[in-house]
Amino acid sequence: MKYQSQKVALYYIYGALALFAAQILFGVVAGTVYVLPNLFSEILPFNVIRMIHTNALIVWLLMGYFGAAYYLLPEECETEIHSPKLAIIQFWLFLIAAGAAVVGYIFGIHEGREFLEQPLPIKVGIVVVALMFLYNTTMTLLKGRKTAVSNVLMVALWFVALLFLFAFYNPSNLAVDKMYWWYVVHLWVEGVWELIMASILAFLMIKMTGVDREVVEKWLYVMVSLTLFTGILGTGHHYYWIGTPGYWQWIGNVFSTLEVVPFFAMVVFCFYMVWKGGRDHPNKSALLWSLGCSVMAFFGAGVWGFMHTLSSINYYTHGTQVTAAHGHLAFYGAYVMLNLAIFTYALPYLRGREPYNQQLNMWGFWITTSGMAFMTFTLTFAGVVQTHLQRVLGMNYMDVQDQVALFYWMRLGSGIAVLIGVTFIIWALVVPPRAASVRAKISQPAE
Amino acid sequence: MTAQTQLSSGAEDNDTASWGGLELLPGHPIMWVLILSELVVFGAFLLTFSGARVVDPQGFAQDQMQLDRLAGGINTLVLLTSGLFAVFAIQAVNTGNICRSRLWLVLASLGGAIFLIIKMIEYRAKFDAGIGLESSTFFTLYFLITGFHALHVVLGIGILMVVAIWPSRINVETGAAFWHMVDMVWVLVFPVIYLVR
Amino acid sequence: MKKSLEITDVAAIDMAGSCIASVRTACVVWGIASITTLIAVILALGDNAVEPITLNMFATGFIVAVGCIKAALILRYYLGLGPAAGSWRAMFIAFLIVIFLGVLAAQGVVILMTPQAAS
Ligand code: HEM
Ligand code: HEM
Ligand SMILES: [Fe+2]
Repeated sequence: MKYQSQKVALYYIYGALALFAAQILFGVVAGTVYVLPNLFSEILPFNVIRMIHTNALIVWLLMGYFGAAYYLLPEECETEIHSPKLAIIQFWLFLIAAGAAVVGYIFGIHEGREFLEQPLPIKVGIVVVALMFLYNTTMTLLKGRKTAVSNVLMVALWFVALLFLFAFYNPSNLAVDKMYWWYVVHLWVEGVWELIMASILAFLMIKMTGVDREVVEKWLYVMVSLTLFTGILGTGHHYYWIGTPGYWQWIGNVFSTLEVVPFFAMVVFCFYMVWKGGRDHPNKSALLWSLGCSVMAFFGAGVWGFMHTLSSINYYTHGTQVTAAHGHLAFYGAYVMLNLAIFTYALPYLRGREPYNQQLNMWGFWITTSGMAFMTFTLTFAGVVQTHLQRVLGMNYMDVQDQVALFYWMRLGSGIAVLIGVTFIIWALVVPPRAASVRAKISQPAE
Repeated sequence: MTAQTQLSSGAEDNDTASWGGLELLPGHPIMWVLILSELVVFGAFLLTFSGARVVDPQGFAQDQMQLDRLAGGINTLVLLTSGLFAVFAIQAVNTGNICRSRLWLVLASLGGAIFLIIKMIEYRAKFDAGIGLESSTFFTLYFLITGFHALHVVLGIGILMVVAIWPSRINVETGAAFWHMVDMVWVLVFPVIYLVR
Repeated sequence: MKKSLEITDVAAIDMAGSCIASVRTACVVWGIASITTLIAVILALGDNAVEPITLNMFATGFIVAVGCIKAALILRYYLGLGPAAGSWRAMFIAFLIVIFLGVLAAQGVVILMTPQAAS
């Protein structure tokens, strides 16, 4: 760690990890309710549990990006954060807003629009938080060195905030509502978040493989071009059979199929950089997370996304467990693993220790990743059976749910494995090992 | 990747700063990334069009009768000529004649404008005949493909204009590369949508 | 790399070796492409069929081939995709071949599906 102000990233990383734990816990509760439907029906209805699970996910991922930005901007811009104090205030405000939202949900106060359930005041709070963040980071960028990594990251974060503004518009016509909803959800995960992913991976590759920045930047530009080229019009894959004009089918089919390409490019990029630059960096687990992120994102977003992205297939699979399978692996592979990669990389520097608990961290990696992969498989099977019985044979929804109950039990099992793996990861990141109390600062590897 | 290994073998290992061979092409390498992507998309659309035609040959044949082949042909000539002007613009900037390069760029974009006017007339005739974006699969694809292409012409005119303001060599080459891509796509769209029946 | 006709002909070879056609070559390319376009339009206008007809494989192949060759000429001489482009050039050519074969295959199926054989 070269710059004192990078330390503010610690708040965000710890905050994100806490919310991560909560997200997984509520996921497991939701998975339990799926198989034991009456379990908490009196105290905490399923829709609220689900809401906390998904909202905690989004909030901790965003918090992780904020932390990542506060960590990497000083190093990229070669200057201190504009105002570390503002960054800390921003953190607490964000955490309070998230907490208030959860309390509200428990009392049934929400707008009922998936992922965007936050009541209006909370949404305004989120915008205020975003403005504080953007002010702080943009000022940092402006006074320092401008690199491709920091420029792409900042442009992407600006658009994350701008696109969120669509969340304020909620037309009563359901088809129109969905159009705007996807402007946020799709253009986030398949647009600007993907740029964040590309730039953070680029940063990690520069730092860990020692490949020239110039080479990495070229790859970054190519990944950015491919992402925007395919992702923006790829939105069409959500406008198939929901009352939107028919031409969206052609647009969605062509462009969203091509969305696989940038994810594939990221796999090639990461492995090529590691192959070229070598694996001498001491933080093996951070490297594992980075490589794993590109691969699992390719499977979750690319392969599982493509599986139901053609309009003729989506006609049958829309909103079934196939979607849930894809949602889980894509979010995990791309953005959960991305955050864990940068956390694993940054924490040793931030806390001035050797990369500690690597073994435990890597165990966590394998258990969690296998758990999520297995969960994806069970949900995919459930989804295929559900699609066949419900959409092709026309069976009743609840009768079908009975037929696939076994898969839901298996999902719960893999969910518990994930919970164990995540415990390992958080333990490895947060709790310092007894033996490694050597407070030796590890040297920054040459860029 | 194959290009990369091929190019770097033999020479000194210079691929540290290379674009995998794209830097050997005229214009900025990122423009070539864009050109490749564009070709993939338009190629996919043209093949989709052919595939959809197989599903409904009669419907496609009936609808295709209503296309204006003359307008399509004239537009091909217009774009080819405009592309020629873009080549002249590069030649001019290569010989250091900035003024003439600017002139050719303006003339090239003028060609683009004429293309758009003819396209508008064509579309207007369709709309007047009560044909729209959702009349049939044929017309959906017709409007989508030619419409996407026309949007690229608009964008291309913008790029040529910007390049005419700052006509450095790399800028002119990059702008012209985009313009030629637009030209080339039309040269493929025209036979596939207008002529083959 | 042997000096082929095009190479000696180009006016502009930049440091990297990419080449954009000379004025003369560009004009020749333009002439060829324009004349074939004109012929295509005249042929298309010449027929006053009121009923849709299905072209046979030969005519289709000819039309699409002319389009693809025009595209190849543009690639080579306007865009300057010369031999220096290495395997990228092969990619572009492969792209044109895929379009050509794809359209032709579709036409083949259409002919098979049409009751009266192609005219
Ligand atoms: C890091 C890991 C996880 C991520 C990224 C994640 C993400 C998500 C997302 C995006 C959704 C919404 C899906 C959709 O809209 O289709 C969701 C729903 C859900 N998740 Fe997770 N989740 C994770 C872990 C878990 C775990 C461990 C469980 C436990 C079994 C779980 C159980 C559920 C359940 C039951 C739902 C509701 C599905 C429905 O409504 O049918 N999740 N999760
Ligand atoms: C990291 C990137 C991605 C993430 C995090 C992600 C996440 C999600 C989530 C959570 C949903 C469910 C939304 C809902 O609740 O209705 C969804 C739906 C969908 N995704 Fe993705 N996705 C990603 C990339 C992709 C890609 C690359 C494709 C296509 C190749 C794709 C295709 C789809 C489709 C077609 C649906 C709609 C499913 C339906 O109709 O029910 N996704 N995605
Ligand atoms: Fe999407």
